[in-house]
Amino acid sequence: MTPYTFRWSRTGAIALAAVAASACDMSTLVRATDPDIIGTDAVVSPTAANALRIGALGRFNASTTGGETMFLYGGLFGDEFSTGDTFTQRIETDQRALTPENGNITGAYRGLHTPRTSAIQAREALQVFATTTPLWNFSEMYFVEAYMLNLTAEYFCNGQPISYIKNGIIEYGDPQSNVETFALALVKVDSGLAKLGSATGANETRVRTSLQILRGRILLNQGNFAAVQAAVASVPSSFVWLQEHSLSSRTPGVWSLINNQRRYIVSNNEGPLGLNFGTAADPRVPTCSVGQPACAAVALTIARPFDSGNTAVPNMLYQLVWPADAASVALMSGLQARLYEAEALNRTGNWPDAFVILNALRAAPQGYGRTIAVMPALVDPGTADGRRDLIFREKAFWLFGTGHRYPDMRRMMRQYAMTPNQVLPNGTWQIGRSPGYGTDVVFRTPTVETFNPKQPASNGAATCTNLTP
Amino acid sequence: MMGFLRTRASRAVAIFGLGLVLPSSALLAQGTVSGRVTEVAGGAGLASAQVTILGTTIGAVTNAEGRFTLRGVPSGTVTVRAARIGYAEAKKSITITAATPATVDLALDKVAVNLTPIVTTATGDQDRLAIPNQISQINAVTAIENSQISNIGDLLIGKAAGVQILQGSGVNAASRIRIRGNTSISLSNDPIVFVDGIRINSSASGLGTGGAPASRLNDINPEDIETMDVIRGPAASATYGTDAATGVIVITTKRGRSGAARWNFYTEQGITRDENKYPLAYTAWGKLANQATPANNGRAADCQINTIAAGTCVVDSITTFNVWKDPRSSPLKQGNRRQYGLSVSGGSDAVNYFFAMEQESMTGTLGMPQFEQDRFSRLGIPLREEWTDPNTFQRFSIRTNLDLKPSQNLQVPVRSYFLSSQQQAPQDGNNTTGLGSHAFGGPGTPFRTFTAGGTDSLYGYRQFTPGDIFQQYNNIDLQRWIGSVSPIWTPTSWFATRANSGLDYAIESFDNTCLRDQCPNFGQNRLGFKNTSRSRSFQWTADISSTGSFRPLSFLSTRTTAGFQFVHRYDDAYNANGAQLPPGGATLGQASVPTVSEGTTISKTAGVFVEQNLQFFDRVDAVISVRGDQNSAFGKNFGTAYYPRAGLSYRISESGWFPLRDQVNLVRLRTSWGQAGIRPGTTSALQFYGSNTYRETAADLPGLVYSALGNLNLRPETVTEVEGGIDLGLFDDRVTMSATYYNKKSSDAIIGQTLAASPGGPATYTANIGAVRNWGWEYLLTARPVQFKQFAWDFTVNGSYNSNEVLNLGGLPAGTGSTRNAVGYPINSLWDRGYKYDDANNNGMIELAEVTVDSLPHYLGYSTPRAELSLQNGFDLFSNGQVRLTFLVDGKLGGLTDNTTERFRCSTRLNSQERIDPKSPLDRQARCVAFLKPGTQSTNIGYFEKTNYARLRELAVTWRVPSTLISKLKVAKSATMTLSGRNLKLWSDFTGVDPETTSSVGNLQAEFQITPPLQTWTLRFNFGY
Repeated sequence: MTPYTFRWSRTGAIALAAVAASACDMSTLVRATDPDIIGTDAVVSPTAANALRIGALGRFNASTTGGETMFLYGGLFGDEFSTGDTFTQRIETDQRALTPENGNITGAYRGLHTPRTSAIQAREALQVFATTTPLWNFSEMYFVEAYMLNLTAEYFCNGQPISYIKNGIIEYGDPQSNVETFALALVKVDSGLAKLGSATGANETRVRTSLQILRGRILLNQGNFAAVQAAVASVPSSFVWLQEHSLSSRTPGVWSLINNQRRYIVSNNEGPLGLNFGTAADPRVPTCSVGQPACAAVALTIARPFDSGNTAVPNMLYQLVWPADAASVALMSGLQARLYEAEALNRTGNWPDAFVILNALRAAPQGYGRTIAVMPALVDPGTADGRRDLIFREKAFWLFGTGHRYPDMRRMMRQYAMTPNQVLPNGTWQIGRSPGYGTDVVFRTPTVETFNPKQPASNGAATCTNLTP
Repeated sequence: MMGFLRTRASRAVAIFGLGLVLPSSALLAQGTVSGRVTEVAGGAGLASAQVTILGTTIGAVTNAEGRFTLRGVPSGTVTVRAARIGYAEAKKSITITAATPATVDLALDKVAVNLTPIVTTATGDQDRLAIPNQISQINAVTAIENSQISNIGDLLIGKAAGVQILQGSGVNAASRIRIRGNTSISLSNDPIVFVDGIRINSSASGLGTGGAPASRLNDINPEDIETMDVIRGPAASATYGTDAATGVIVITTKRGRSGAARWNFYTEQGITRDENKYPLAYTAWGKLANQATPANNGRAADCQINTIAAGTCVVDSITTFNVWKDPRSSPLKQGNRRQYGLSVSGGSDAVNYFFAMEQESMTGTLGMPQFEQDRFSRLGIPLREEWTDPNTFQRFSIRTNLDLKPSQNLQVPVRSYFLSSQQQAPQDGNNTTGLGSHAFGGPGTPFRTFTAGGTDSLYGYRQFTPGDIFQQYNNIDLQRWIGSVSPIWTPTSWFATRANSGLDYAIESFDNTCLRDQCPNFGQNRLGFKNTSRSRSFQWTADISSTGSFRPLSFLSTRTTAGFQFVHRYDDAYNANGAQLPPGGATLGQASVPTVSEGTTISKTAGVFVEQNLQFFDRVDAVISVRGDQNSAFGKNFGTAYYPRAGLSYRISESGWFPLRDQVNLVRLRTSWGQAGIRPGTTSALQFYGSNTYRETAADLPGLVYSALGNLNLRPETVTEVEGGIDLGLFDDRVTMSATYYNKKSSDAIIGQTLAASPGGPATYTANIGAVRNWGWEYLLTARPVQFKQFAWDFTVNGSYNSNEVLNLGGLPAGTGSTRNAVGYPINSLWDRGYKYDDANNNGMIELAEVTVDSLPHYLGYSTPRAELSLQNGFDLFSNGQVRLTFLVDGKLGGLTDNTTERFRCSTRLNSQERIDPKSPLDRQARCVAFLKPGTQSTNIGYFEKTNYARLRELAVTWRVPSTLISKLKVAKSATMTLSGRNLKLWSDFTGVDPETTSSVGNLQAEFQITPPLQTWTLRFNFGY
């Protein structure tokens, strides 16, 4: 063996050893367990199924009262709020000139679907892993699903896909008309009620009553006024399901965006046909400006909104419905049931009973934790249009900031044959950004939905079936 | 032991180890070579020259006198080569016998500055000309001696073609580094970094201020660096495997040389100034047309061009104000930089040592304006140092590098680096309470007040003033240790085994605090809060490789390397926040609303590699290699990623037939092909749940929510690159030229695929569905056209041009925003609607109706510069270069930058000239109006501006104090003095402050309300003892 031959063999041995090593299984060496991850194998117990239920409720809170959600964007689009900051996303929402790429609306749109999917997943997990769980847990999840379906159709244009994720696989849905989505929401409500049966515990009552109120709201959306009263008749006016808040979980969105961050301002005659939330001095929607004792009492000391350098933006008008970071929001209440009844009665030709309801509410205000002074009785406007406007005004003040105002404005156009310029703010917009309000009447499907293979698109943007209110 | 052998991996390692031991039996007759390497001009000994026996693994580095000794040299005729950066290499053939030690002296001639004789690769140090790639090497010692270098970004900028640096803003801010363009759509495009064989954490660490992040790469002290090699792409970096597709930076720190102790003391004293041209703020004063007197929130109405043109606002005057420059309001002051360092190096045959310590401090250019100091004084609030100097940095570092030689066949380099630093940064940039938001956004007057009718002026700030802003205390304390042991065993002349084991360990404490009744009155800030994070970063590198080199045939030399590498990165952080502090309270326990969170990131890579180099006729080099990697981030269904590489280099000029040998000393053609990877996000392959809370009956309940779809098939993004080029050396390397073409393509690019919202699940899904191509040219020209004893001139020109194209998005729809990824266009290409304008009514004002915006957007261009060019000149003056004058000018062009600051000044701050002043140019008015169009008619296009600029980056003059003067003064053996400046002059048509400004190290430049790079002047003294 010559030295060179020997070295060839050694070199070859090195190479072969490396090749052998490469063929070996290095997976043991690279195995890593990230403690942040809760794997699917951890979600196979009754406790985990219940945690999914709580997770769905957490998302429900975050997508309704506990964040910058469609409740706020609808109010911005309508006449409840005006923007006080410099973000294009809020400005164009306030202007009713939305771009489909609007990131804030996209986030809120996604927020309409995440609680719904979480609720279905929780229900499925409860069915498999928690067979002895109380039935109201299932019904509560039906409520979440139905509530979010209803909101989707209330805010967004016709042509909303309803999709789902099952076992890690996305099941894309076809675009649905608002009518179809309201109908689906009603099916979910009825499923929830059916699942609940006749049990009468506190939670069963809370969930059943909430489902009944939601049923009334969906029927209004469907224009089925005749059925509304029956749906909510058994709901006591004192009933309330509060969404709770805290700094350690979530703060109320309206408090956070207005009182805390000053990115929103309570509107006053916006557009200019909007309601006078600022000057009405209505005890249902208490407001204040800096310098007034009411603001001083809750340490609101900054007069200007977030974008204070722009003098075209009005001074802050704070809301005091939820004056603190831990304020609870009456998401479902007997008040809503009465207001639905009133509208349905008027619409079916029974104004006197509707009027009685409106005045009864003013005579015995339900504050659900806050004190609302008794208000004088209303004066009958005497005309159909006046009565319609009075009902919607009363509803707007009673349910301020809880996601009812814009859907009602949309129904005014859809069900009461009013034109957009009779309902929505229009004309010269408050801030110097020309040319004023746009012409949008509904929220369009965000561009992000183009990633749904069943979603029609045009020029890269998701399209609606139609943009009618 | 048997337990150890139970796993297949362990058995393989054991077999591999045996393979390394066996060759020791192959000892042949050996001799010793010693000698001296000197400089042709003057004959002085040259330290740090690398001396090798060609075709073997035997090598040494010359000591301070230029002397070297090589042992274990095989008998027979061998070629000794000496090489050192900045000098032409020299070779001599000698005959070795076991009985008589041989002596050989070599003289090296000075050449232009950027030639690199030896480069460090994954398989060890290699002859530059044997590698079929262009690898840039930066000589940090020379760079620091002749310019102002305070961080790694300073070392790299303008020094290596194809390496694009975008400076960070602020003290110790991270720079964005891109090599050969953006490779990945969704993953990091930062290169990876090795220091003395150990992979280190080089990521940017967010300060949470909205401004530029801190850089963990900048933790490495440039003073400790000897050389930095830049391995650009997969054609060269394949043996680094997963993560190496975006390039590799290999840093080698200084080491001791045999000889007496050599002490070195240096100090740098400098000033930092903000010489940027900040824009004026405008306010048009007047009254609304329907008002008898101004009445708008108690103030005169703000007129704007649109309301002036419409006649709804009547102007009586326009005022301007520059909050940055007015002495009453300016938040700018002169900063400073101080550095003190001491090092000692030396050694013997048994051990060489290099020990260094340094203290560095920097104070930025932000400070509290006088009007704020006066306000605080009136309020009885004593000023604190962290408010008056809100941007500071201190660093103390100690390095100990030992090279132990326990036996003739064994070297054990040991490296230890400890760093302690503290960095404070103010709120800035894209931040509600940041300085930029309020300094760029204020009115054209200093006399607006905090509140209507109030007495304290805002002095031109928008809403919050520096005094309150600087009260928010942001601080990072860092302790970091990087250490390694890297034994090299050379049992025979033809065989060597290298091992590496090292750790990069850092503990970081981050505090972000507003005490009660301090900070801007935003949200609940003035109720007080404290946000803290305590994080650990651990990265362990272990590798072993063996190299066999020999000459089996007279015309063939071979070099075979095989090895194994394991890299384990572990990061965790505990975040504790407390809201609502009592007066005087400053701790988490005193806050009334505590919250906590925790995060962990783990990444492990194990890889084996083998590389075969062949050299034919001493001029044709071929290389072939493959690396196989597994990584903890790969999907469960994916196994091993293989990264092959092959290359060929041919030194035509060494062929016998080559003419013009006297004029042309090198003509080399080279080409190579290779693959490398980018690993997915550490949890992207996993399907998992997250947690949230739901508050019920006054208690927060823990919930689970579905969070990630996972992808069991997820594999690394594999990038394939082909490069080819030519290297020329003329007149004994007095002139060198190099040109390289590269073409790299990812075939299974990872895309964080946006998911539709309607499924109600996660927003993204990670999949290997895309493809991206980068291609371009890199050029290098170095020359020393004039060389006399009293005067010499050298220069280096670096240039590069990159093209980038998204080839495939896996069928996903292209984005629709202004920045989008679309097939056929670059990553993050810029799009928007065009517009036309016409002052139809000739009133000198562009109104809404006079601007027509296209209905559809069109492609505008790259969001990063495509071309880069730098010119470095050096002049040696007086005897033997006693004075050296250098300057570096670099420029970028071919990209677009979103001038976001100016866009906001138009649209929401209402203080830009084009929004307010009817005398502003019509084109500027038009771009503002085009953006003000409502909703889908609005276009940003006027604010996408060309990122074309040139900058006088460095200017320095170094005086090497003559030895005669030194000996008279008797204070040192050697001394140099350097006066240098950085960022001295900008040439650009950009209408914002600076086209290089960014607060992000991500793939998109973020020019928004942030202060641009600063100008620095320093004076450096260096004494040798």
